[in-house]
Amino acid sequence: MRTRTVPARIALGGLFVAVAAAISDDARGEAPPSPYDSDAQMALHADPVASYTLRATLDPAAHTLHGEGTITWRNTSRVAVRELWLHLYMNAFKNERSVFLRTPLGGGRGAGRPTDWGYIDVRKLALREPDATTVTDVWSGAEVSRPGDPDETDARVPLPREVLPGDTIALDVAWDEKLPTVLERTGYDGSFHMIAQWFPKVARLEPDGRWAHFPFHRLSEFYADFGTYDVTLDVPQSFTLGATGPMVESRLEKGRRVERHVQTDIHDFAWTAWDEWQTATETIGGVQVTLLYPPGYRVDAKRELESLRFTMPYFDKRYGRYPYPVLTVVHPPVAAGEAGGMEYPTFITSGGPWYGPPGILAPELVTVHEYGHQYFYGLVATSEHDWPFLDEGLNSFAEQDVMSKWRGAGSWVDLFGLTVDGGAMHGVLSNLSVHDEKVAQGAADFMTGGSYGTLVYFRTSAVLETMRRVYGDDLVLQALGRYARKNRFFHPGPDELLTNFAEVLGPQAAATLRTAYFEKGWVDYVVTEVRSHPLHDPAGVFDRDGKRETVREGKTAGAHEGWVVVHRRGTLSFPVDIELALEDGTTQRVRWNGEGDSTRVPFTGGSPLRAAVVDPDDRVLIDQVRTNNFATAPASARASTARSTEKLVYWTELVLQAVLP
Amino acid sequence: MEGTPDGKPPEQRRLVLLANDAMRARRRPVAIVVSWAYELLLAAAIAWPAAAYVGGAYGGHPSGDAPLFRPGGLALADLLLRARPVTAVLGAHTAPLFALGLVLGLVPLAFLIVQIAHVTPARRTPPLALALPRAWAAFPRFLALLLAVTLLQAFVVVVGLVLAGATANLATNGLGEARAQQLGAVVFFVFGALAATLGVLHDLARVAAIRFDVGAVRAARLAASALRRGFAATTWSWAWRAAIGLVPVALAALLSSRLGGRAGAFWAMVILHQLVVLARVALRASWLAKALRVVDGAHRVRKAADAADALDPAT
Repeated sequence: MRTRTVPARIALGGLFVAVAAAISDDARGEAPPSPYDSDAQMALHADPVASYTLRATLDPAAHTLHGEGTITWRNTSRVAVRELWLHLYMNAFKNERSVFLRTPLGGGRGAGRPTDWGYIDVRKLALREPDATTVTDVWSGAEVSRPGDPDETDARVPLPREVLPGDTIALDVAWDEKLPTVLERTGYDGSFHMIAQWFPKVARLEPDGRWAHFPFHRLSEFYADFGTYDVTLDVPQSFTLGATGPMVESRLEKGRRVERHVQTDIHDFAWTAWDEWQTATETIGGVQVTLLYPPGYRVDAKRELESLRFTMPYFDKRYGRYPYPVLTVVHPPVAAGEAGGMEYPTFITSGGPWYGPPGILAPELVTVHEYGHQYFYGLVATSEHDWPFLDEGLNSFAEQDVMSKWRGAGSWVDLFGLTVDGGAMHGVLSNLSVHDEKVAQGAADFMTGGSYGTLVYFRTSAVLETMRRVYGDDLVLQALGRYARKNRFFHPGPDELLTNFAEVLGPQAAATLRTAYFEKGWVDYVVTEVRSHPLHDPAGVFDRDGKRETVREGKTAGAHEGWVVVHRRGTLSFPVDIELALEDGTTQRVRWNGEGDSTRVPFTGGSPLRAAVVDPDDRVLIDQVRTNNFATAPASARASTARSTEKLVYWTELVLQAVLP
Repeated sequence: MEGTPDGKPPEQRRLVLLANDAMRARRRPVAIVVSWAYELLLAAAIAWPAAAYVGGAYGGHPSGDAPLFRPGGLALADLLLRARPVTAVLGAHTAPLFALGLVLGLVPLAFLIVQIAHVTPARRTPPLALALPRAWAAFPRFLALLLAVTLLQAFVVVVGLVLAGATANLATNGLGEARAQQLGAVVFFVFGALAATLGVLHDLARVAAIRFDVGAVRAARLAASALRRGFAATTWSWAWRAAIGLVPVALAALLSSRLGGRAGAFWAMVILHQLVVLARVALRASWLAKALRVVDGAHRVRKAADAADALDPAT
């Protein structure tokens, strides 16, 4: 169920234009200061809206769970409500008629179906009045599915009375749950249990009284209100637990391990239990980091810790201090790979095999990415359903930014002299789907998982990386940092992001951002003509001093003149450099503001013009076609590509030697 | 007839066999260079369309293909993704050429073995006119051996993969995933070693086919028998050469990453890379010479060879 309407998007555009008009300078060298450029004015706590006091008992042999407890919810909207919406996301794995399993999307996580089904049965949901003695069952009237739609992940619960704005209600809840074989972040594999999207969870009520509720969808993640989670977990004694928030109590009783975890200012809770977990702990910047990893994965755990040692202080500096005392990193075994690469407040899952070569930075990338979600999803709690680019996209940029600061050009791969940079790959991959769909749309609106991935993750990131390269590291990171601090513990939308970019980078840059995300914006710079000729006196017929004189060939002065024609195709524009290469080996650089469809760059030099390159430093990462960014003058010899030929021949020889009989 | 299993009269040959200890690769530099040249030409033919594609895409850049070697891989990744539509064309050219090159490669291989194993009556290196027909005559036998051994090796590898996977799966509950996979890797290593041993046997059969001028089946039997007599020494002779063959590749990669892109480095890299390929061809030739000595030592009547030294009129 989408909550963002078309009129809202128009209003968003209007707001943006107003902000843009109010700020006239484009991409200033220095943005006007804001209290949110540092942590000084940043919110310290969230407004607690939906809080959960729960107790869960796991039977790891049957893969079942019994839960019970209390949900406290406050109406923070401007209107009275007579219903609640509860997300019962474990029912996504109940049968093939769930939205999750029936949606036709191929490939990627969640593409299979569980070999053992999972579901949740709510046994009790009762409204407890403030006098604490009156308890009214509300579950009997609940509507778990809609007529014509058998999905059971999004339940409507009518209430016996109105809940007025500002009023708080308490609900007693109990449920039984069967976990599926691990799929789409949750489930079991043998005695390994990853337990996420596991309890009846109240949807978020927007300020205007609309419920932001939606069924569990393959491409969508989550959206919820902040609150305090006080969760007691009960597992067999031989199991090791990892969970959201710090452990405040722990005891062993009757062969069971009982742990209580309490954390304020969060909007979800996940946990894991396994009798094979190995642990490593380290304090990084005052945060107790715990790594849970399978036997034999010590090297991965070390690599993940090392990546956090760089990333956590960097994020503190860029996007505000991490406010929680703990972080738990779970590295699931490869067989439970569907549990990997996910984020919950103070709890992230990494992944990858134990034998991954150190030059392929997969464990580091996943860890850094999921940690980044502590900000872009966790603290800046956007709707992952409505605007996935605000969490996955911004976080992908943050991930590649920190990885490139840490590992340089080899931020993805650094192996045998070959370096692959994450930012570069985001740029190249993002061009694959740019014309298909727009970036800024709901997760469930994407036609394919492929376009969701390339647009939401890579396009969002590549556009920001392009702006970083064009307008400067400081300005773009200042804009994103200001957005992150200002909206900590709030639920911003795209307008807040664009407003911050307009404030820091100016209206032109922010308009570019909007076009890129909302209008499938693209750009392709093309060099179409490179010409030069010797500079000479004009030839022709001249009337001088009463005489007619014919000059057949003007005198040359050793200099050359000419021009280069560069076109800009597409709907985005960035200022770019144009490099003119002369036959004598020297170069000249000209700056084009990128406005207009074309420019003719005049040339004068002591040598003929040999070739021209637009954007020679690869700042415009999202340039649609890189192989038309240059051209050689017709009279000039084409440059050598012998180096690549030599390498191709050599590598082919090595392959032949490996297989020649 | 004496000393050779096939029993053909010596007058049918114009090349004579070298004595066991005289069969050395270093005595046949021309044959080694011919093998290297074949690999170079075949590689150039295979790589040419891809190289032409790169030339077409980046020949217009003032720095040529230099952007493709920049750190980060932006231009390279962009070019590779953009090449998707032409990969079918490149594949249509490359795959059959590759297959044809592999099969025809049996001839220079046989030529190399003939050169190492023989000498003219005047104690000279066999000339092309004599060695090439002998090599060509061995082609059907080599092809038969290639098909049979490739099928066997594929079977062994597939069985190894299946058993390794099954072992890892079965052991996961008891040992944990990583240890179980390591156990699976050990199982696969055993089968990999078996496949490599089949490769050693293959080479022994080839040299036996040339040395004793016998058919594929007889050559395989002679090879098996020779391998049985000196299994450890023979496989070690192959293994250390195979391992050492990786050293120049690694050194060249190290040097390449340091020299690459520097002015004047291009020809240095060409020479370095071709020296690497040549060194590996020489190591292969050295192993084939060793294989010749192994099969010859196992089956030849020693005293006849000893008496004749380099020239054995009996053969």
